[in-house]
Amino acid sequence: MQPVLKISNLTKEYQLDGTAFRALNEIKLTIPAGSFTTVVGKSGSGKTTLLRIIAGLEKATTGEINYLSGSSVQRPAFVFQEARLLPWLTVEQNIAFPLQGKLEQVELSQRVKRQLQLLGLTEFAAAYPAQISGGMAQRAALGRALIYETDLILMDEPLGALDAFNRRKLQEELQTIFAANQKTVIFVTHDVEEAIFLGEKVIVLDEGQILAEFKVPITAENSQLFTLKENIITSINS
Amino acid sequence: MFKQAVGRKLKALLLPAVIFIIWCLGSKLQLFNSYLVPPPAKVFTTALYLLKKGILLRHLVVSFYRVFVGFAITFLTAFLLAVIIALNTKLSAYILPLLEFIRHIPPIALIPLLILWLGIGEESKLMVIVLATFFPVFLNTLSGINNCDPKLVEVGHVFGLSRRERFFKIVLPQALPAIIVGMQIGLGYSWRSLIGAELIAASSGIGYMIIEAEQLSRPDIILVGVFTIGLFGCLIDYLFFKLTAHYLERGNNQNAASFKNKQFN
Ligand SMILES: Nc1ncnc2c1ncn2[C@@H]1O[C@H](COP(=O)(O)OP(=O)(O)O)[C@@H](O)[C@H]1O
Ligand SMILES: [Mg+2]
Repeated sequence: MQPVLKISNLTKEYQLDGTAFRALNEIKLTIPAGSFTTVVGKSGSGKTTLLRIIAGLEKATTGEINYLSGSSVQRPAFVFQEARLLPWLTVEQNIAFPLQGKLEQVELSQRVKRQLQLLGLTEFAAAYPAQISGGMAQRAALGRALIYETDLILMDEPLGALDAFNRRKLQEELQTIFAANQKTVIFVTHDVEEAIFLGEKVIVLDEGQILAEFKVPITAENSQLFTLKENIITSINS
Repeated sequence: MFKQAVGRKLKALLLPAVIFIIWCLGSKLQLFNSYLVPPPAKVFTTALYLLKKGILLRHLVVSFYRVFVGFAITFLTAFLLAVIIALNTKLSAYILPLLEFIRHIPPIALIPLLILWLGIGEESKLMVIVLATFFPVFLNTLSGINNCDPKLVEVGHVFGLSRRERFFKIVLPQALPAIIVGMQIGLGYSWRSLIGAELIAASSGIGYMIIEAEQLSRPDIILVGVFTIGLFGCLIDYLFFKLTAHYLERGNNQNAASFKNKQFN
């Protein structure tokens, strides 16, 4: 498939007490259109930094990020670890937020309705963020990213703050949602099982470098997935 | 719930009732000099007289008008200046120290100068109101904007909002509770400072009515004036609170709660 995003020799340095600290070191990565890529790594390995640079929230020290010409991506959507909903807007208004004033009101409210249904949020449409659970808030944050017209969605441990049940449920729903549409996803997690469950490709990041890439076989048996998991964990701990 | 609310109201009325009873009894038993403390009945008939003749209303309208205009001027200038400084942080080093100096000067102390410069017309009284209300509105607006959560501003970046859109759709709504608290404090100040200004240089208004009564040796009129000031001060505060409660409570906005605790005045 056509790559939608090409990252070459991406390095990010932070100045800490006068010395340069490399949070990302010469990252090379190609993301095919419509793919679901997961990035795993220990905390502090540079996962968030990588996503933030791709999103344009931070500048790279050196290196390049190229969106392929012809791809409709102008800006990727971003789902943060915390839902970051605007507390003065209802769930419905939060989901509409990226397109508010950029789309005809009738069209917009139809699209919002569709997202609410897709994510099981219809009955919470009029609730404020402080009135809903963390799982529901993260669903709303997801709806906000899905409604934004972009082909590339970046997610930074979006399920990290959820309990095991909610987490499992949303993992399955994410899989269904993204199987059904054409979006390209880069999904960061520190949970290896989650990375395998969701990803077509798993990238292992450690100390700012890509250690290994694993393809997840589509029709894999449990034993195969177990071996894959062992391999990834070995690679992280090496 | 209902019982609690009634209980609270009864508690609130207890002390005023005690004071009123002492006032009645003391007057009846002629414990007070009626020149210093006029009996309740006298104050009541005076109030009725001032109401019937339209005197009280005339003074009230003038005072209200001044508060309204003065506070509108304050709101425009203080709000705009706070926004400009919050968005251009370099400016604050030049402007804030001077404002800090001015903040410590009570507007009443400036009245003699204001009369010299602006005369005893409306300008000097409006200026007193502006000086008295500027800082709560300015400082609360500034802190509301400065304390805006950068994580929410990032949401705006991520969805491609322009600087202008980020300000109006994220920063300003988040600062709203602080701005409202500043306005509420400012409104209270404007009412009190106006009366002060009218005591010194005016030919109408509730403050003037009081000072005129002093010269006529009419403590009953003074008391009617004082009650009116307190009553309408509470009323302004209550109406403003009712009008804005929705924005303060909206979505149980956490900012509202935190700003209630660190308001500037
Ligand atoms: N703004 C910053 N200033 C200095 N160091 C930073 C900054 N942001 C991240 N880092 C450092 O960069 C490294 C990678 O951080 P991060 O990308 O957040 O890791 P991860 O998301 O994988 O846990 C960490 O060591 C972190 O301390
Ligand atoms: Mg992180």
